[in-house]
Amino acid sequence: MLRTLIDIFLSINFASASVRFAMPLAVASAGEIASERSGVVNIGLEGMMLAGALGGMVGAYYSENAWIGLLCGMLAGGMVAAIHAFMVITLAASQVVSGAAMNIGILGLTTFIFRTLFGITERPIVAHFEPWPVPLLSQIPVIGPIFFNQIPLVYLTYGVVLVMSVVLFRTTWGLSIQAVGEHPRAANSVGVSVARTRYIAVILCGLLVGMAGTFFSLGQLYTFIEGMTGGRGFIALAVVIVANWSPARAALVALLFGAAEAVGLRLQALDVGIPYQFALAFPYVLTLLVYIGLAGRTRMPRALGLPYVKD
Amino acid sequence: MNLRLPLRRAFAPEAGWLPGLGASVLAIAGALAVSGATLAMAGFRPLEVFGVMANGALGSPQAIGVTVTNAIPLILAGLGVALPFRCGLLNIGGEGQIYMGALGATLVTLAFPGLPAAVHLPLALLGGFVGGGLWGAFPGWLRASKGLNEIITTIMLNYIGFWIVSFLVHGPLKDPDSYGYAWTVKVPESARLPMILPEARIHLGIVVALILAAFAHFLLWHTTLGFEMRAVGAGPETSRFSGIAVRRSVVLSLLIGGGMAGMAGAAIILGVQFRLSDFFSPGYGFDAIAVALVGQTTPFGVVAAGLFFGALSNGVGSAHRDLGVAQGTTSFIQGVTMMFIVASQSLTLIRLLRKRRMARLAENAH
Amino acid sequence: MDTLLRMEGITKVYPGVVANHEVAFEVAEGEIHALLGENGAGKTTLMNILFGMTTPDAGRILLSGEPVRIRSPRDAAELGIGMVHQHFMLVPRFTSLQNVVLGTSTGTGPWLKLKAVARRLQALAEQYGLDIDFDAEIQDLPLGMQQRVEILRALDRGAGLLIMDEPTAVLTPDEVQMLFGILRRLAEQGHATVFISHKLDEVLEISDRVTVLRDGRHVATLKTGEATQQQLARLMVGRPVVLSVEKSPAQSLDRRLLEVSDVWVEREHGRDQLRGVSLNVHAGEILGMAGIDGNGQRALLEVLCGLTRPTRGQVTLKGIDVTGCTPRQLGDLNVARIPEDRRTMGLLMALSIWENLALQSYFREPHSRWGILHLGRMAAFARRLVSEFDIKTPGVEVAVSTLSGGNQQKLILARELHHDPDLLIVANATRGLDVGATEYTYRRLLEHRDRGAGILLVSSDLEEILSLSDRVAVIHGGKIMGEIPSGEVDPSVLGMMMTGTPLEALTRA
Repeated sequence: MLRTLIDIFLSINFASASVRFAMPLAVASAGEIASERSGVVNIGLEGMMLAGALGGMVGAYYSENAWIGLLCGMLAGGMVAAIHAFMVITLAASQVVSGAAMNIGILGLTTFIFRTLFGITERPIVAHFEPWPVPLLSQIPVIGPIFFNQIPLVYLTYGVVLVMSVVLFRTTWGLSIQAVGEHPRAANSVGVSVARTRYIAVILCGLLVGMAGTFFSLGQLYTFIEGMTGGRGFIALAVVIVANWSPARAALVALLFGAAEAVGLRLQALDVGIPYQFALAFPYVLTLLVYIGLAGRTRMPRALGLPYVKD
Repeated sequence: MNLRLPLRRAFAPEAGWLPGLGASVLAIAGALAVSGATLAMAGFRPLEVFGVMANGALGSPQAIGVTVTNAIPLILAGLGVALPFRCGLLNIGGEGQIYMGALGATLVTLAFPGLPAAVHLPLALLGGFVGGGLWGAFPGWLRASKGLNEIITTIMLNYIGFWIVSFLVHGPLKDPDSYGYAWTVKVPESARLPMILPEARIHLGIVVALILAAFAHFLLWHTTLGFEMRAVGAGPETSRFSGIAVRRSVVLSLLIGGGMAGMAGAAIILGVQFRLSDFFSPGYGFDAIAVALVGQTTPFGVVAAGLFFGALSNGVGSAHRDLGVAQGTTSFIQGVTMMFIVASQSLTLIRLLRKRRMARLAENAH
Repeated sequence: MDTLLRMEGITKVYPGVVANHEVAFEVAEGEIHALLGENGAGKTTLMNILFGMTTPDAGRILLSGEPVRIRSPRDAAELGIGMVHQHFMLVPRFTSLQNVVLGTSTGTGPWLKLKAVARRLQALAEQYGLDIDFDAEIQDLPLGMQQRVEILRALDRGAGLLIMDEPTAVLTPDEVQMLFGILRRLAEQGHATVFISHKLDEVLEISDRVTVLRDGRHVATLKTGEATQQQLARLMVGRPVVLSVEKSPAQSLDRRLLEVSDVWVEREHGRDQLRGVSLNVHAGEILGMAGIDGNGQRALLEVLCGLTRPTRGQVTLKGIDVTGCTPRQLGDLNVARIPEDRRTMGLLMALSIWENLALQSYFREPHSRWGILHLGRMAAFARRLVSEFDIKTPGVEVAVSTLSGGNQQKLILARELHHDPDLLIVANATRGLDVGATEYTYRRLLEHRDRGAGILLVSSDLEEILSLSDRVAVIHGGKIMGEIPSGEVDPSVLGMMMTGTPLEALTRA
């Protein structure tokens, strides 16, 4: 038993799988951090991700090109985000309920669109991403195969996390985002447009979450299955809180959860006597425990969730 | 995170429940319009589809029976969302509470085999309430004592609850004679919900749902506990300042709400399926949010909305069978309806309307 | 001096109220011009228009003779108009530096080059004599320094005209003098200042000219040197004003109602603590608690209202130990509590009037029995209170959010006072209320005092404390600096106590 566990945890395959599974969480949480830092929460992250998954699959199907699929997936996420932004910024409606509504609506809509396009029985395989070893970097012992022999989406993720961190903490625009999320009235009084800043942050979040969604359809299963995001959107919400709204830390937390998922799959495959349900439930249990453990020690943006209406 | 939905109504606050009804009706109309357009884009004729849906939902006693049977878990789970909502909490854990409630009911029926129906059935329903109630009270306690956002905790518990039930029906609770199907033995007759309208196949669950709706209404508006819950939902700081036990209200509302959702699970097992399996709920817990919202978070509104959405999913099923319309339509219409309701509670809209109303009042005063 | 700013015919109407009616206002270069008026006179609206937070329905604005359109704070900033708000527009978690930088590019494209900017700002601060800690988070800074950050920010954007909205509301007497020094320096360097206030003595001290607004209209513009306090007060209010409240002398009852002995409230973060507070309130007297916001008043109120248990010490009410009692139990002992923030602590905004009025009584007979509410009795009770306290509303079913601020406060008073409490704990009772509502509140409080109730009045409004209290105590840093009978109060002594000098130290000298 111990032998098996060591085999599980100390293998390159396991680490590589962890990085792979972490990708959608890292990208989605980076986007959500931008949005939440500006004061808008996206409970509808799951729906956004699903839209991205479908968009990616449909785009890849018709263009027979995974990269165009990726673009379509991002656009799909962006469109959903734009609707959410309109509801909560311009209409100043409840962010939480709007997000919950979108989850329900998009689940139905994606099913509807998929079935309408492809019928009841067909589930076509589409152009997708294959792992691409980075020249030179993938040769480095241990680190190489884990981090640099992945699908291109993972490499994009490294870029996204880096760029988001820099933008958020080292640019004037990043400062505006943070101000709008902490004290929108103060930001408004110095000439920062609260609405415009939030719109941009939310739509950017949508684009990134759309990218995260394409992981499932273009990077893992090569097709679309109803509800294929399996709750990752909700886990991303928890990741954001656990990471204290920092994109770099969120990537690390995402790695942790990616590992949890990899463990689950491995346990399932190896039939170590643990029922598969435990393995599949493990990421959610872990999320819950970590969230409970970190109670109250976080720096939430003060205006998060509060609609801002100018006088 | 501020989760309190502004419960202010867009129109004059003293006008009672009529504006809420109006808003919901308009929202449904809007959603039907949007989905009609979508259907048209997909090559269907919207009016034809709606006709088939209406007929499929209400066109015969059997159709009505299916509609009502669909509605029962929606109403119960909808109450499970509406009640905590009045206390300022969003219960997204309906799905998990349904599963745990179903588990609770099943365990009770299996543990006490020989009881007479008059005892066995209520006891089983109680088991459902307890199962769901615990699954709601736990995140309620986390929120009350540690301030942990109930959205995240309840969502995680949804998945955990589901997998617990899945594990049990594939393992310890599995019916040994089931030839590989993952379910429990059949629930004994004495614990089942009897048919009250056999021609339409409507079982006692609807009566249970209506009784619980009446109970929820009474609780919220005629008891001190309900008063406190609504006070906490309208102003937690003020409630604390005046001496209301805020934590107690929070936990209690999620306990009772979870219990109601648990009853939804019990009703499905004891009234329709007669055995516990995994995947028995096609997302009732999430639909319940739509039901609660469209029902303007009042118990009787939830009943009406539950019946409407029950009819909707029944109708969509017919449209699927007869015309080939894809199944996702139900969720889509639900989601769009919710979006319209959310939009109707938009603060900018409320402000605009209030400004115009006050301007009109000022004019009339001169 | 040349005219810098001229506002002509400014009219702004909100639903139900005319905030500004054809107001004319002008400011000359290098002058300190006071804008005087009561709450609701239209001063803030006029300045919000000038600063671009809102737009006028009619009228025009001229800067240096040229007509301009100001549609947003950004427009205003570009035109050289800066504003220091009453409630600071600073992001609490940002540092001073970040707050000043916010909204501007730091001159190096999109990148934040904070060090270079810091050097420039340091020089600017020195030029105007502004003492600022650039690296501290705003929420950790004293209010006087926060204000200086706002001033610096306006100056950094090239403000030739500075609007200061009730700037002395949160300052100690010393800080007020420091501010006046800064304003004079600004005037020397050619900046014009609009000084919004309702404090007559300060207006007389610092301004060159004063404009009085009343009920949204321009009433007069005078040279300050030629005006008297009585004259300004009369112009402000429209009738000869009695500058202090009519108050019969306290019946010096020896009966001690409330005794607070050596109460400590210790907290992890070190803010808002009590470090050994002792005080007494007698029946039939008003004890005023003066002090700058944030020196422990909140902790004291929480202890006395049953929300926080003191870490040490004892609270006795009518001889009974009530340390650590719940708010409910205090209510049973006939203690009334008027919270400092109506909307978030005193009222349930989305619920109806009768529900709000029932907050202290719903759990007892006759309003409920065995947990079941008697709605009819609750409605009748509400109707009775509404008429008794003259709350203007179409009915008791209406949501509280539709009431005006004054009527909301009356609702709270009705709820807390109708059962004739023995002890009243009152916090900032008239914040944001107009004159009529304020007078009503004062009358009610004095009535109860004359009937033998004891009142602890906590307020950051010194005038309110001085006009109502029989004795005045000052709290600073969680300790009581001393108590003085109100007849013997000397403002400079008060000021010293409010900044941390105990009374004994002052009387010894």
